[in-house]
Amino acid sequence: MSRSAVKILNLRANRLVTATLVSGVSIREAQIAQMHWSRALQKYLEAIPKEKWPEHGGWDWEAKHKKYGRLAAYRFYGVECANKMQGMLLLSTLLRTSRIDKKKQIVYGVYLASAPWNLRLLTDAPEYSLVGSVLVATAIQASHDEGCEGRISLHALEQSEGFYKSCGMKDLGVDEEHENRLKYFEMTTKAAKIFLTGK
Amino acid sequence: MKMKLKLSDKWYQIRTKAEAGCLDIAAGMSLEPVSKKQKIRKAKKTVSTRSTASKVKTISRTRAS
Repeated sequence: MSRSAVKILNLRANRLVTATLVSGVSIREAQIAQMHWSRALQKYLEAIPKEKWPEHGGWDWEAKHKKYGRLAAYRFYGVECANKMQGMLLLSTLLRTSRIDKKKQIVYGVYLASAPWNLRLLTDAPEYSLVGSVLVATAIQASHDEGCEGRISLHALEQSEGFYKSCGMKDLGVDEEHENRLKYFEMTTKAAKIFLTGK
Repeated sequence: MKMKLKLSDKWYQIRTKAEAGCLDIAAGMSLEPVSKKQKIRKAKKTVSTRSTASKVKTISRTRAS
């Protein structure tokens, strides 16, 4: 497990604040995060119509940690700020084949989510922004570490497709083999470089 | 060798603008609660259809004999 400093945007103060990128989130940290997220989500759901509920509202990060946490090919990352987990990512380094370049391998984002209080979907006054971008940057870095030159892929939930397009990921359409027929996105090496450096 | 993630001030500025209009950021392998419920429903349906079909077959065989 390692910890490093990153920044996220405190939207209420409108300034960047230092957060901690946790590589190797522990089961205890996942349990606490799940507790905070569930409580917050419950509060938001009471106040908004059902059609606005987040598609991932039922995800249980503690259960995910129990399922994947001990497997060497899976890594949990988290962005922590103000003593709370602001977002989490589960990455699979079991190399898959890129659908854009079938000769190349790719790292897959199994699950990625931000804390409920950071979602514009749930509140007009979210607390932090940039959590998702930091996690995508983390996935790209992990891809480089695995020799995949920044290539990453994932299945985006419908409400999040815009975010992944904003990251420069290519929309490869609905994945017919996916259980929920979600759209499949890939980031090429070139797009990853542009995402990280702007060039 | 594992590299440390380094993000420039400009990167934070660019991403702040890019994220401004995004409602959610979730990505995932499956929407578990929905799919589990669907699976259970599907399983129940399959069982009841099978049992009804086998009952019909048994009855028709009995009548035929």
